[in-house]
Amino acid sequence: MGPWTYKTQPRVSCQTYKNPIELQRSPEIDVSALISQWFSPPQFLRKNKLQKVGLIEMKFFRDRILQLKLVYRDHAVRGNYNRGKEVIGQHLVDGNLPSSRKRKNLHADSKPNRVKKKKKVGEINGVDEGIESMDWFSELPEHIIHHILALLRCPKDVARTSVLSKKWKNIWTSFNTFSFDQRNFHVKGAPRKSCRIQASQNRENFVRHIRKSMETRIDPLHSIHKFRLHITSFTHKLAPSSLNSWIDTAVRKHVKELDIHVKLAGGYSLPSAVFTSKTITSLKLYSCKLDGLGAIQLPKLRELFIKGVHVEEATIQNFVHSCPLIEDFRIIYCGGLERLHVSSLYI
Amino acid sequence: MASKGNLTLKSCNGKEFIVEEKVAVMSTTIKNMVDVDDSFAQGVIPIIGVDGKILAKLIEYCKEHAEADEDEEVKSEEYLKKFDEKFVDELNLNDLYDLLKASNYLEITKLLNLLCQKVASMIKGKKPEEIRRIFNIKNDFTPEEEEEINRQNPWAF
Repeated sequence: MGPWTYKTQPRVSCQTYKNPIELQRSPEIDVSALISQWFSPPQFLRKNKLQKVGLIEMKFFRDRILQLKLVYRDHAVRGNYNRGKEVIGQHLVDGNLPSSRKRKNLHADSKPNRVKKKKKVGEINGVDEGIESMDWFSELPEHIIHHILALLRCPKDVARTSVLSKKWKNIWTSFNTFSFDQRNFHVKGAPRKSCRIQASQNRENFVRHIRKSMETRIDPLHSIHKFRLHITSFTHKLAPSSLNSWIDTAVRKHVKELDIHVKLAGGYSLPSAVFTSKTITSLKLYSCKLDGLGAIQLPKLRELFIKGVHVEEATIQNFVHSCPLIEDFRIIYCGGLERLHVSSLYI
Repeated sequence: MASKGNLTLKSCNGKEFIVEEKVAVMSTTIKNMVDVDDSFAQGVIPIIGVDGKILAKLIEYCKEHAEADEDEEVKSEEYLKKFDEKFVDELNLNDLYDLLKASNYLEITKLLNLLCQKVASMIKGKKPEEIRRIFNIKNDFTPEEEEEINRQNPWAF
């Protein structure tokens, strides 16, 4: 299969896409022609919205690209990007992946779904007396309860389950998914931006929570499954060096899924240990700096999402060549990429 | 005997269901059985520990999702979402528990995920006493122990 090359104008942004292009499956694609149709010249540019190029999604199977999907986001429907309006086409290259439906929901990762209406106590009905006295949920296999806990986005909800009973306390102690999201540390009722003291208090609480979790929960564990860090605002206590040490700890604890979302002026550079981890299978990096990376060696990596990052073609090639198991590689709203050359790949 | 392309599933209380293969193989466990041994594809597949009522529910779910995977036009994502919502809303606690166990055993990942999401939504934002009441969890801590845990995570309560 010949190499595919496409060129985009650097920092393309803000076009409105109107007519979806009908794509047909074919073994060879002329990406450059598609791109020239998709990316029309910028019509209007707004401040701070320059880097939203779109999404490039590559699915690999062994050494071949199975699917290459180019997605372009329309700013006019910005708020709606969960609904998939911006999906303008996908090009199936060499066969159909079994679960193409799933991928349509890709933005669910980047924007948490709205919390469903809170269910009231007593909504579950039709439970007869005999069953009512049974505590069956505590008897579920531990991995199912862990799964349920992982779905509780708010750390408070997770921590509250530790006081239910001794059994639940044990489950909580062995729960090895950690999500530290600063957005959960906004005190209810407090105005988000206007109250500075409150904001700094919130940040302090957040840092204290992470420190404490690192000491009391992560430290005793042999390995952790997932480590997620979402930081929206900085203080001196949240210096990059602290982040480095937390992420290093996660890597040392054989983390499998790492999800780092850090917005820092000038860009946050991840510790180099992340890129030579032997255990990471999924890596999601939002707004982190990826320039000037050293050696990459991620033998188990299957999933790599990079979003809102300045990225160069060499970096992408570096990842593709250094991660033999990679299956799903998404480049989401990244700037700096002018040209991407994808050959029938390595090995 | 099921006709070609169909499989017969038998619940632990002896109820038999004839389902299309594409529906049955939503379950990874059944898929592996059929892939490994052809005789399962012709004969009856016993589904251990799952009664007729729960198996019927499982099949209802798998049928909708298998059809949607095949033809997105007829059963859109929107439709599936509504179906999923209705599906979990109609469950009582007992069924929810049984389905969780069954979908874990049969490895129906999508359904397991949906059910876990339901349980999570029942826990979300609730006080411990409320959660205990919903799931009939017996508090076996002494008041002192409970106080100690509360002190460890003051921000959570």
